[in-house]
Amino acid sequence: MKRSSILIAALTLTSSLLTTSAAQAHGIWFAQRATQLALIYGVGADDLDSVKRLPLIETVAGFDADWQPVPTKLRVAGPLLLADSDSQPTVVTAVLFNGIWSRTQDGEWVKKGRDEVPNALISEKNYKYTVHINGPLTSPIPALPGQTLQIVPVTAALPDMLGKPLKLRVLFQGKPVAGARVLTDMVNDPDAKPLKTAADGTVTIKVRNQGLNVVAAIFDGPSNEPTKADKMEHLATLTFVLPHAPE
Amino acid sequence: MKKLLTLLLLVAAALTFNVARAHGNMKPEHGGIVQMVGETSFELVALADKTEVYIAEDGEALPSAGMTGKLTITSNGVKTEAVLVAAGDNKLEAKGVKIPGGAKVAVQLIRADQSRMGANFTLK
Repeated sequence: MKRSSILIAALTLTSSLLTTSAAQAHGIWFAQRATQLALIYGVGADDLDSVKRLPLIETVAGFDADWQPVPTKLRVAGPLLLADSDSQPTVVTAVLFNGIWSRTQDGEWVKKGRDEVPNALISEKNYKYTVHINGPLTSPIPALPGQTLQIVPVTAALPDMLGKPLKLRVLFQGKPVAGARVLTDMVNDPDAKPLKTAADGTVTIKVRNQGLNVVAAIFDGPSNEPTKADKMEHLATLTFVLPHAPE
Repeated sequence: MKKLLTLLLLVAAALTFNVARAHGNMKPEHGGIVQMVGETSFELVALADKTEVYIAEDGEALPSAGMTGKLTITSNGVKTEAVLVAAGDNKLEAKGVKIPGGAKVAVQLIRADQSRMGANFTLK
């Protein structure tokens, strides 16, 4: 095979893997449903069956404005998972372990590890994290328990209007991480070309919505089970709402 | 003629704009402070001998009957809780609870169907 053909084949395969990985990138986030705070599992406008995924939720937590824990749990209410807190929380978080997935030679994703699919193109372990700002913030959000990958606004002051800049920092294991891929709006523009965090973990976005904003960050970390997964894909979301104008 | 057309267009645009706007009222009706959470407004009234909470959704008072609630007050690093009791119309109250200045107050209301709503305040 000519060298150029090999290069083209490699590029095509890489492109295909990247595209499919992006499509695999479902996330979790909190959003208002009938005035209640619901945990959503999905991507774009696709709001999938979250109740089915309740067993995958590893933690759900709430925090007050001083970052003290507020007891919080999930409750099944019809097709929704609602977050119930003992006291009105400033921030609510959750972690979901989505299992180990492998992409087979024919391009299909199966929920099995490399130990079961030895000739897989890739095997990855998927974790989803989310931090929802109920607000108002009186100090910057710290690294929160269980949020291996976390997006934090650099300051406590959030913009009040869409289109304004917002400086964020992406933390991996509590420390700023460079090269994390950031999507400004996972719900309304999930296929956008991601921004990348700088050496200090920061990235500046333009706030996209005068309403719910779901910002996502994706970072590939080392596998902690190399016989089953080649890497761990961490997907974190940060959600906040810019209020609309009063009547 | 052009001026009239422009004026009509501006009026029409203004009317359309208002229709698209949501309802709700940020103005206190009981002398307290108002916090909007989505379309739900909470008015916290800190009095010398009690604390009141008034609730409305989409500009209409929400009956407090059947609701239970709680105030979580953080002042100088000390957290205390007080029970809110339905007190007619859209009011809940915690008798004997005086909120100190500068306190952070979390209001949590629970309806009979276990649905919850709440708001966070910081008093001056």
